[in-house]
Amino acid sequence: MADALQHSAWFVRAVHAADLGILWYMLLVNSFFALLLVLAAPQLFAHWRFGSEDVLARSLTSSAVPRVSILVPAHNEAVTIVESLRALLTLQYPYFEVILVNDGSSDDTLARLIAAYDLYQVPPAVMRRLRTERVKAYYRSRTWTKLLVVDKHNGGKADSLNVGLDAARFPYVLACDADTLIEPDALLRLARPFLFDQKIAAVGGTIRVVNACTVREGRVVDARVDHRWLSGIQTVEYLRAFLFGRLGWNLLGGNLIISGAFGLFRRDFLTEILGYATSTVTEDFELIVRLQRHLREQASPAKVVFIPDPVAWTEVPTSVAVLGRQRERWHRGLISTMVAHRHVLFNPKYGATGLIAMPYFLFAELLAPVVEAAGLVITVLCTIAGVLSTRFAVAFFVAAYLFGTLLSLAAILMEEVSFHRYRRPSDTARLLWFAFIEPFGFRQLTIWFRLKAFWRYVQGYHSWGRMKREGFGATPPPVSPAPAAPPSR
Amino acid sequence: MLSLDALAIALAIEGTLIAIALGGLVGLRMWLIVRARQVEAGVAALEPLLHRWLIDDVPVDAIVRALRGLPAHVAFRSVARLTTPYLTFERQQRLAPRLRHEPWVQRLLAGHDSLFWWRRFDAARLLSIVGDPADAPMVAALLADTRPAVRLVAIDAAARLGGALVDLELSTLPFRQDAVQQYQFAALARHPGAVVAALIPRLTPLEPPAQLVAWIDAAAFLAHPDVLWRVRDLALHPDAVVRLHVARALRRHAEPETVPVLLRLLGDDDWRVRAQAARALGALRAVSAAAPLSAAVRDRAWWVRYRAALALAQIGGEARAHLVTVAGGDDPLARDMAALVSGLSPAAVVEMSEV
Repeated sequence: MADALQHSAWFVRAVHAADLGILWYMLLVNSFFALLLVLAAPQLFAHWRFGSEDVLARSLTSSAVPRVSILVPAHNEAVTIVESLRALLTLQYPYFEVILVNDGSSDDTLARLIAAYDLYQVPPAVMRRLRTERVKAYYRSRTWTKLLVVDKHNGGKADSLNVGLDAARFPYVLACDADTLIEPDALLRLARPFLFDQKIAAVGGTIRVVNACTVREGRVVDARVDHRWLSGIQTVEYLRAFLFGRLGWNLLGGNLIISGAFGLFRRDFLTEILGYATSTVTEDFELIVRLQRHLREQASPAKVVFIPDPVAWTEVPTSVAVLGRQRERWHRGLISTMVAHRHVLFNPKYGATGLIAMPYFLFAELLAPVVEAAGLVITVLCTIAGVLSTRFAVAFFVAAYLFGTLLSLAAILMEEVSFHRYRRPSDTARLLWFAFIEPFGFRQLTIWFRLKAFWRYVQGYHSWGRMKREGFGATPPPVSPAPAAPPSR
Repeated sequence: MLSLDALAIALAIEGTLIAIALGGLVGLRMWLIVRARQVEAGVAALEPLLHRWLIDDVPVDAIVRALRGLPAHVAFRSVARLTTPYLTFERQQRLAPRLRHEPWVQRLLAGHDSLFWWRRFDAARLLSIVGDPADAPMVAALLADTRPAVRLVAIDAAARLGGALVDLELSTLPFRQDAVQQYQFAALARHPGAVVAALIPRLTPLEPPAQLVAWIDAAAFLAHPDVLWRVRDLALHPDAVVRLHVARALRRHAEPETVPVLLRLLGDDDWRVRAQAARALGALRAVSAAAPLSAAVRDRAWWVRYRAALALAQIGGEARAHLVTVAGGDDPLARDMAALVSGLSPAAVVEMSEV
């Protein structure tokens, strides 16, 4: 078989063509990553300076910061809900409300909330503008006037966010996940671009990995890097994605991702585009693509920006199975969003979004697992056929490996010289270790999960997949039987 | 096609960059630690002196001398960090002229026209602490800076110096987006004397409505009686949007003469004005407005009914009795609204009335 392949002209031509394609692909994509890195560095410095203690302290004393409604969709979050909600309610910010939407939880999420926050049912003082699943009841807290809990039938995260959007009273809304821990001053930092610049539609902040951190009262009091490889590697991955990936896009004018776990929006823009789409499994990505489209169609100068210093912490999967479900869902969402907004692609009418961001997401994100898998298959075939130049292949793989590692190191360097959340040298050493080992095993796993997404997308699969939470290391408080809600009148 | 030589070059570059990144990781971290320690030491040295100066235990010269002995960046960071929480405006005014001509201040202020934004940022921040009237042209240039952060810090400096600079900055406010406008005005209002003087002449019906509403909002934020009197005089303005902003601003004007004005606005043709008037009457706890407010709970506009019911709940006492009466009345819309608001806790009523 090896001989037959070696002497087959079409095979050799096909291998050459594929080789050339993959090499050019790697060159272009890696050059683009390098460009993002170069663009991110000065911005990181700027945000580090703006976010300095003195400037921030003066913002905090101002009573003119924008009022913010925090929207928290929750579905079966009984393990962490009381603690993460407490962290939200005690944020350092002069004016905000928290709207927690219980999305038809089948566990005791609502009972825990009623017990912990002394909730009582109130009449619906809400002007409904968006179509959503039916709301069962609205609750206010006797102990926290900032809190509104909405209990509704299950309709998914996007549906819950839309219910929250309807109930929001303030002109700015922060969308965050119930299992996300927001740092006390993060909201103040996140609001900064709205105070400095007239033309901002949405702002995203950084998400970090909470798994090995010590959490007390819903606050990360000791930031650590997990020693377990899966969450350790994801810690580096998150640093890379947030510190230069998204920051670099600010200057290219087409930021397409604001994490659904932590993003601040002007509410008027969200209601203009009819809120979150319920038909996708990555409602955050889809929302930003639709928002960018809307802004360009309306010829609005408003921008979607990312800033690195507001930090929220989230749990990442610690098992391969859960990681697989998460990555497969993310990629499936990417495919469906790209298909739904395909006419934006290469369309000059949409400016940087159509000409830079969408093509980038098509080639460097959506097709990346296909190209990488093709590269691996071709290598195996060439080895079998005996047409592989071993020196070239080794040099190529080492170059690709070093480049990936270099990007991770750059992210760690940026983190260390700017925000420096991980104080112990042992944590920095762990970050470096995981940066070096990420390409062995983890990367191939994610390629496989993302390839599965194509198959699932073709099958019309529309599930989120079950995510298992470990909680933040504290035992949830005991729950007393829920008191009967007082009559609403 | 990519050659082996090209790959070898790429490998060499990548290896070098990785070595630089690792070296930079150690070097930059150490440099930042040293700088942070210097600043902490500077703050620790300055803080007790400031405390003693506040009780007039040491002369201001002791502070000036202590700062002179520090590296320029440490002196600046220490002053910037400590003046806001510790020193009143009057104390800052006493300290400023003593620092203004210090060599380290001169060196930092020389960065006001630097190509590097962070030097302009530092110069603007320093001017907000030590600036004097002769610095007005420098502050005016920084107010027009291309970096929003520099502009914002320069507003602080403008407020300190007052006069034409405040007037200049006030004139740009109506053209800014709401959040920016409010935040920048709040920065100006840290030194209200100059702002009141600049705002009063603008509160006249002769101003274009679009700009007038910005001044009215600013007056509401300032909540200074002198400017709110002028706002009250605009209650009969022909433009409904202006009347709406007047009604909203008057909730900060707790004077007996305000209630009749708000009652008049409660009967306005525009529902937005009526809603804001109801809200203001609730905020002022206008007991005498209970009857008109209970009539407003029967208004045809949802927001007027909502605000009026909230106002009755907020006023409490006899006004709450009016709400109970409406809840048992025969108007179905008024009855629903009264029931809705009656279900709220007192804290929720206060909070919902606020927004």
